[in-house]
Amino acid sequence: MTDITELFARDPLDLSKQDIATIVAKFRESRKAFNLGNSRAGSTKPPTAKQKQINALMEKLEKSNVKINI
Amino acid sequence: MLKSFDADDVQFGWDSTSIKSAETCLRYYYYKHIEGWQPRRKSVHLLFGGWYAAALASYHTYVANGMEPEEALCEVVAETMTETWEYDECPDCEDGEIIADAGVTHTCENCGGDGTLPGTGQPWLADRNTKTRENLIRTIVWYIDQFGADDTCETVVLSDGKAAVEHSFQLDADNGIILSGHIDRLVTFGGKVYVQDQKTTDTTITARFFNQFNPDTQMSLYTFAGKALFGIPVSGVMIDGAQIAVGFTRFERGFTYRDEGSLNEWYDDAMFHITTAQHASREKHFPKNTSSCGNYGGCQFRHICSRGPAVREQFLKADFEKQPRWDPLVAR
Repeated sequence: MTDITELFARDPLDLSKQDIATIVAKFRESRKAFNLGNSRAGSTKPPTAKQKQINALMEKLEKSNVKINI
Repeated sequence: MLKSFDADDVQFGWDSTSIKSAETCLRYYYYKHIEGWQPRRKSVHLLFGGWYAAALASYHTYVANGMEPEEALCEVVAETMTETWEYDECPDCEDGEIIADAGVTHTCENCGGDGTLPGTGQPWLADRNTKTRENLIRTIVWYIDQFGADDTCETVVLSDGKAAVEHSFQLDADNGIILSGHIDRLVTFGGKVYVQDQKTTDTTITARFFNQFNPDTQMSLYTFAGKALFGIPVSGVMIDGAQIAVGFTRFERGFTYRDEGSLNEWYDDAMFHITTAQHASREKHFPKNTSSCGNYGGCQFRHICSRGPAVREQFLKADFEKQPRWDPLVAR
């Protein structure tokens, strides 16, 4: 399936009906997950310096394919 | 040529936005509606709320006109994706029109007639991480999934067989005043008729959220207009509130009611504020209402009014830009 971020970055006049259906389906999935309690609210606050450090480390670990459980 | 102002710059066409401004502060009304000063960057809340309400109004119109709900949803998602894409402006024309030497206007062939260049530009970027482009589309999809096919309210069908959706109105009031506005949808719910309106917020929706709409000029005008236009006893406004968070959108439905007495009182009050603003325009004197300066996090012109009269224009030019004057009688 096409990455939704890529679809949002594309000129909307170039999006096909299938692309739009993909976007709708993706958001339906996220609603289902939210209703099941499987998604987080997210934070409106910008990350602190410490959080940024943790995020950078997490990214490195993800790239190195090391599986971690939080 | 402005449709809502007479030759002396006195406004006679009024919508809820301009009435609210006149209620709030005559100096605010002057800066915003007479001079046309607007912040350089349009408020993310206004943009997001406008796109969201427009998308849902279009959805209800498409469905009322016979389109399948799923197709209507995809249609409004595609439209909103385009609305929220910032195309480069065409250098050869103005809004798609080229005026030739003889004064004849013809459509620009370079851009296809809308003043923007296909294949250019970038997505609209929000300056906060709740009301983003992605979250706008998510909110539309989630709203229609929650309230679409299985909604307990229905669009009112008028006596001429047409669905009561996307209705711009102009109503003659007293002293040559015209009240105007736009009703997205008239619905029946629990045997009563309501004007439906969409509101978005960043915070959790509680009873307090809905309480802010009574008293409120916009909701009173909608109810007043709904009754006058459609000849139906409209009970008030159904407000579908959407809490936009980073990772979810949560909806709450609330109501604000207006009885006959309250509407009559609102009408008299609105006429008072309008004639006061008209008088101020004739006298060219727009006094500040300093009790309003701190409301809703502070007036956008507070730092202008706090300066001496001699330097205010310079500060206005630095922080705002003059836009064409808001013209309520121009239909959407």
